[in-house]
Amino acid sequence: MTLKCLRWIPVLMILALIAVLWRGLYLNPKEIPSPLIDRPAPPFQLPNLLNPAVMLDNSLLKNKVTIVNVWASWCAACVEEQQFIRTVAPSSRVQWLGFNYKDDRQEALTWLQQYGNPYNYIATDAQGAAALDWGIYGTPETFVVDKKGFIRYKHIGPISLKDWQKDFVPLLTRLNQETV
Amino acid sequence: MRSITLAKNILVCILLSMLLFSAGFAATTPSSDVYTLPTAADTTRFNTLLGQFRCLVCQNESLADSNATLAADLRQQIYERVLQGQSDTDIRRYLVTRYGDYVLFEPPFTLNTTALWILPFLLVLGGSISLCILIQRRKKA
Repeated sequence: MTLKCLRWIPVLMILALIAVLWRGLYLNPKEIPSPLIDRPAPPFQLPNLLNPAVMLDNSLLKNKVTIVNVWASWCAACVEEQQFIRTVAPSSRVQWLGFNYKDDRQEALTWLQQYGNPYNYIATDAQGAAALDWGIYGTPETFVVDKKGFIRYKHIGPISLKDWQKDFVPLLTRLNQETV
Repeated sequence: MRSITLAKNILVCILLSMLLFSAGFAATTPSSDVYTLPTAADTTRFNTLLGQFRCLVCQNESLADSNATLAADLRQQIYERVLQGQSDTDIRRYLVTRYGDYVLFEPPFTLNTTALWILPFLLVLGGSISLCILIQRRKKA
């Protein structure tokens, strides 16, 4: 009797395996969850791209919901994303901080002229040193930082309209309502 | 008497399957980069460390193997930390706080990874037991 029941074990195991693998098909291995979520944004001190004499640091993140968008002029996917950011940034009611990653200053400036500049500030990390502290491993990547300067969300890859409406808008509305 | 043979058979099954898996633990490739460290022990430690971390860009390559610029940056960071005499635990913590457990080729035993760590052993045990029971029953018939 018990042995008859045991016969079903392999069947159940195969079904479980199928379920796990099926789910795996729809996961993106490029999206690595950031351990920095709900932690204070790592300290940074980087020159302002448009005015390198001025340094930008964490004080920029105080009392404002900020979107930190990592980009580079050598990044093809960033061009497409930039077109999209330009359409949503002005009405987003949050601060946009561009994070220019491992780029040449002149090329970055040319790129901005060509594709537009939706950012309130742009910090340049030519060496990619601050990027290591932020756990950045590619472009584009986008962080949402709350008014207290805590990272609340990270998006890997270009932001699509769907991502924006589903993941960003509700979160930004919520974060804007939070008090410091 | 019969139960002793059964137990013996199960043990043989387990040992054989362990042999099968042992091939997986091959040595890692040493880094080809030109990093010079003061002692041979440091060099070995450096190379071993590089083999333990996964590059986040070319995801199935270790930091030792990857040509991605991010891997080069992280190699440099690890190099500087080995030079400073930081422990393996410190260096591991440096990477994990930034990139998460994902950078580790050997994930830690946490609630999330219980199945990952325990399942293989359960499968080997379960498989061995059912195989032996099956053999015993055939013998009897």
